[in-house]
Amino acid sequence: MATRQRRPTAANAASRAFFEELHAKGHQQMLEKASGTLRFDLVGGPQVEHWYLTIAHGNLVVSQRKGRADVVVTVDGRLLDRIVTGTANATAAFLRGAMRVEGDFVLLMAFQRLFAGPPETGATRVPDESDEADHPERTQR
Amino acid sequence: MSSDLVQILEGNTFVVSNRSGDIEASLTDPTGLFSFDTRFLSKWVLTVDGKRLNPLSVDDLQYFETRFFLVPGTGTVYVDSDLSVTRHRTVGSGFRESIRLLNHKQEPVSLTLRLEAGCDFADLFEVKDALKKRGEYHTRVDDRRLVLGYRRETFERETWISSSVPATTDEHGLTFAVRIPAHGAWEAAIDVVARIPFVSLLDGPAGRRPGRAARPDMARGLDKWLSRAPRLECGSRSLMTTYQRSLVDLAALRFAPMTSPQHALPAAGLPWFMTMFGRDSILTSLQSIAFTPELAATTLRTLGERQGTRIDDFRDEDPGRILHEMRFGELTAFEERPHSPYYGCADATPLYVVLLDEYERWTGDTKLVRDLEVEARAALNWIDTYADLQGNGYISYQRRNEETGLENQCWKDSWDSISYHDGRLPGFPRATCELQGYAYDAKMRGARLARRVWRDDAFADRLEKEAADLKRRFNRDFWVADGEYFAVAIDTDGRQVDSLTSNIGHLLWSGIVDKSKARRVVEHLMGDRLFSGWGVRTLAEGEGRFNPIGYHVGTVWPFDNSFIAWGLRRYGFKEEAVRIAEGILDAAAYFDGRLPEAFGGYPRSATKYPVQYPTACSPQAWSTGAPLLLLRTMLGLEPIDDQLVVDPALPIDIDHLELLDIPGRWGRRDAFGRGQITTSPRKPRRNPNPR
Repeated sequence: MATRQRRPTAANAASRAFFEELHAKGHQQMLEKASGTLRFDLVGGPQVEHWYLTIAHGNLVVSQRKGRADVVVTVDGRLLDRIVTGTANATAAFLRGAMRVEGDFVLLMAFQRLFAGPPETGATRVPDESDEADHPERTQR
Repeated sequence: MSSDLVQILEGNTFVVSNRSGDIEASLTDPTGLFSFDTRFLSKWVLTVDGKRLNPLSVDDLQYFETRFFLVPGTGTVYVDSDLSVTRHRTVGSGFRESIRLLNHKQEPVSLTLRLEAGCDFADLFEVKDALKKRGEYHTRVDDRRLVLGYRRETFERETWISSSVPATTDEHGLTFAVRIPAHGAWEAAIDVVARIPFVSLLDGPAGRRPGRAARPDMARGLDKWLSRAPRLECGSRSLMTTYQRSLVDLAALRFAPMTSPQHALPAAGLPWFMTMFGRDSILTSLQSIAFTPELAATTLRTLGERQGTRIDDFRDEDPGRILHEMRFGELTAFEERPHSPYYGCADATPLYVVLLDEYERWTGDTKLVRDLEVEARAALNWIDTYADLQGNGYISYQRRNEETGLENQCWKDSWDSISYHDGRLPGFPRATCELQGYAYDAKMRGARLARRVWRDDAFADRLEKEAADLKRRFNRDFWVADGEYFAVAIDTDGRQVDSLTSNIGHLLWSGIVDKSKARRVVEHLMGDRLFSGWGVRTLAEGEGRFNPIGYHVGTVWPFDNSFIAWGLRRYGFKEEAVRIAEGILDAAAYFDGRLPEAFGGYPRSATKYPVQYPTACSPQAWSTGAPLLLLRTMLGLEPIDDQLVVDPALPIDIDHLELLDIPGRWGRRDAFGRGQITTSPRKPRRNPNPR
């Protein structure tokens, strides 16, 4: 990944891990119809940390190199850490003004699908192997 | 809602006031200026020389504008009218109020006009539940503008009040020193703007802007909407009125979502439910598809954008699930309510696929179907995975958010709506019958889309095989053998919840009913226990919980009946469909063409007129859509391949009916029919050629 060498604030660790994992994965089926660049500005630390996420045909490239963006999301790094790990909700954060958005809202709507769900809760509800085995005709795609 | 309140709206911004135009709300009193689920004015009182004004009349000019004609004085004996006052209020991103004073004396007058303003910034949920605010209020006078504000951490809402003419502004309102010449007039325009930090983003550059309280183009927008809808000509004046009323109310119910402010989907109801609801938006889009198919397109896109992707117990969210309700207020913003959005709804997800297919069949818009392939597949996947809570191959529901989630996640969502014949309530999870019908239809329609648009024959084959299997199991497991109808649900022990309900009509619509069983189902629907003469009751007479004025346990719902009529047509029972259409449309005439959410399930012969169920929400979207779907049903409109097939079956009283310029993949087509069917009660006769 092309990252500008900048010392990350510890507060942004989960967000950094999230972005880096996205970059490593590359393709996201849920973003196949989306295209454009999102910029996340992580504030609240000693300096603002910029992350650029460029989406084209479902391929996602993450960079910290300055460039053009279709939508800019300004959010406290500690809050984004909670959002990417599922302990806070992005839509609620937006509604209370804790996540400010300028630009292409549709692109952000598509992207927010990638944020994690709450940890632990509901984990037992994922249909498991034995459930599939009971109903072989109903396979998950 | 009390009839002496006046409400006007635009999108999710609305004003509820008394008949003088004044607002004096308490935390629990539902009056005020509301926008995005927050109250922006809780006090708005106009006085002249310290005296209140009395209403002579109120003109509801459009759904977004009202004019109040007022005079000073107590109004107890007679009105001394040397002065008349009009308040002309138009809603936009707040409202603009044009105040006009006329001096009827032959000499000039000097007087003091005062507008008292205040706000509690209550969340709609707080108005409902009387909760205490956690943030802090502020008030300031900027230049000539009065700013009322509320802040809780980063959550900020402000109301900006300004006047077109000079006023003395203090923290509690605006005062005008008015001098009017003999037989002269004085005018001022007051703008009240609901300031929400994210709104300029949502509405885009072409939408409303801060400082613009009312949009100048709203009347033109309504005219354009009406002129684009098909034109109805018929021999029934009341049907013409109902049709016109439905189109205007549907216009009022349009709600522009965040992501496409230039487009609209139907919100659930006015004014308290002016937001996206998965079920209501989808069903209303289905009802209106022959008239305004663009509503369906926006519904599909918007609900697709917000489709569940996570497992979140607080929001009852699963991957692939279509949302139940979206809200924008403080309690949602602080995750004290789960509506960001909330997903606790078991029918919207299969119905999403049903709408996508129905939309393509009408419009031929395969691009949207391709665009939403991932969403549709995720919805179909949800049916077989996350929705199968009991591992028995049926959709069931049970909330995971036990504090603020919904218990009943089907359209009959009140606490006692699903019961056994003896009145007992089943436990959870519950697998109600209509959910299985929707799942069957979703699979069949999904298969059609897979074959024709997504070019995935293997997936189509699989869906059809699953649908056939579901239909076979359903007709075995839900069929109440001794009563010969379908149980309303299967309980946690796999036993039938054996009351007779209107839900069996939705089963006809879905197509899940074996042909051999359809006649008995129809006989139940049209029999005295379910059919009141106006329509089919939600719960049959003779059931333990039957109550003709019980919300889901005996009342007649127009929306429910419109889908039942569609189902009757699907199985070839034309005359029975006409009887329902005629009953509901007759009822509409008693409500000036605006059908209520529900009316009493008393026999028609007993009351002669339909008894309205008291409700806070009118018009309601799917009641507004009911006459449209009934028109479609009576004309027998079906898109088949690239053609619009017309197969009319009309009651004899209507004489003739023409629907002109029906939009669709054929361009525009007209449909004609003549009234031929006498709807005297009789045994159902089966059409030999069901679809």
